[in-house]
Amino acid sequence: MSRETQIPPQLLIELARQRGWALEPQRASALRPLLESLLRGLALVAERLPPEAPPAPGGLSGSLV
Amino acid sequence: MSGDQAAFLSAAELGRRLAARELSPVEVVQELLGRIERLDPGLNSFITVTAERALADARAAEAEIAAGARRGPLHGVPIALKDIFDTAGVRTTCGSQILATHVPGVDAAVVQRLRAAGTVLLGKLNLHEFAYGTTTTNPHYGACRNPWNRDRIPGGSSGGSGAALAAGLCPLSLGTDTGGSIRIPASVCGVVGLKPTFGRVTRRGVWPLAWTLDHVGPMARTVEDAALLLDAVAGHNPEDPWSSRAPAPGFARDLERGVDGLRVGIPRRVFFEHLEPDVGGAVDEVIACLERIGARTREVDWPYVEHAYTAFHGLLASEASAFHGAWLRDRPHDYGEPVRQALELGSFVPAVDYVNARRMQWLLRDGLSAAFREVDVIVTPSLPRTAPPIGEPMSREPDRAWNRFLAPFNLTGSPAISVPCGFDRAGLPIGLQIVGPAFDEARVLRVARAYERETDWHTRRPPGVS
Repeated sequence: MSRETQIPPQLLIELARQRGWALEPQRASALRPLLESLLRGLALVAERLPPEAPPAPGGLSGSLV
Repeated sequence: MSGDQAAFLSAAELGRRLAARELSPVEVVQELLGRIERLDPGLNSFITVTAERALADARAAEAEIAAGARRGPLHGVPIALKDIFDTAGVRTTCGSQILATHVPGVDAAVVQRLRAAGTVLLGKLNLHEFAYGTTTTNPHYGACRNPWNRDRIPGGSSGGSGAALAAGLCPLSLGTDTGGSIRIPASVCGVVGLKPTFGRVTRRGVWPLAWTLDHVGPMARTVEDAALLLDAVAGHNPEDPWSSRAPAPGFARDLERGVDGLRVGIPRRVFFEHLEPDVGGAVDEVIACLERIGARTREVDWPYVEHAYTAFHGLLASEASAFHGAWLRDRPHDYGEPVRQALELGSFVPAVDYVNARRMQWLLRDGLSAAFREVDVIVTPSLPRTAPPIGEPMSREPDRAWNRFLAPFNLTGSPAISVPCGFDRAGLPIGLQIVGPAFDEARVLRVARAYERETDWHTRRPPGVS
């Protein structure tokens, strides 16, 4: 998602509905700037990742079953 | 015994006096129950007080000790638990309306270990709803208050633990820490809180917030007590897939070794930016103190750390929303508004962003491992500020979140402790964070104890709790 994207509240309402819960329009509007901020930050994280970086394993090296 | 003689004794000292039969476990419990009744209405640190069970357990401990069957250093010592650990027969609410009547049938694994060690359960402590927040301004059980200033928050999510310890209502507590929830209340309540290495303490029977970030750890008023409590609960649990097989040696073994020659890293970038002046001054004095007692300090860099908080937030939000999905669908009105909104937020984080946050987590672990080839520990302020007023909105923006110095070490799983390191001009406690390499809690505790020995911050008491 582009850092410049504005998320339509209706999209959030529809995604919530698909998950089986109701998101009222005023809640969707309140949520939108928070979500946009988090997604902008995560997009920046993605930009900084070297291609070879793998996901972290579930535990610390050598420590798990 | 007359008056409140045991309230501010350390757990280690209590254990010694109980073993020598200079104190009675029953009288200690009676004293603490009296203090809870007298002081907790003004603090709201307890959700449930288990008075009858505590007295029964204390009587059993007294009989065993008298019969020469002492179980260890914490036998007969009272403890109160964050209300997120399942306790058989005692309701476990997670600070929520959703679990308000939940009475587990089985103890969490750590509660079983505490019973085996002979500790006495005083009750269950207030927390931020479902541990998803840092204030303990709980909409269902009331706002928990900071004993140093009752208009201020005790931090969170283990806020009841911090408040009860600072007020002398219990000598020990267990908390959980997903993004600082042990170290925040430790810092703002002027007590000690240790987040051990990821996997070091089993989470079986502990309600999750975010599986890849959750840690269980000790809270206490002294470093030695935190070490003794970690001794009691650490170690592999074959019934917990996240539990580490790493050996769990005696964590108090190196406490008095000092820091002579130890290399202390100072990560100036990110961790020393935008501090309240009193916090910055206090941590500068810590660094001078560590140098004076023989440590060698140097600056260290940690690549990518400026992205740590965002990656943390992405993981936290996604995992918490995954866990709460069914309740969010079926019982949304039973959540307090801040937690409900955070859960809604996490429901919309795309999977690709979650995976990229996990990739950033790997880079951060790798970078910190490299830093620990150059230094033995890292020190930072625990928080950029002291306790905010109750009701002040708390940001989760990466450059403003007050747990931004703590959460990076939930991503790396490193052992990290907060110890008292001073007070601001308003008399509110300031905390110091000490971080070590994975599975070297002993080193972290050793540095913490060396600093504690040089200061008297841990001996100071909030007003009105004597």
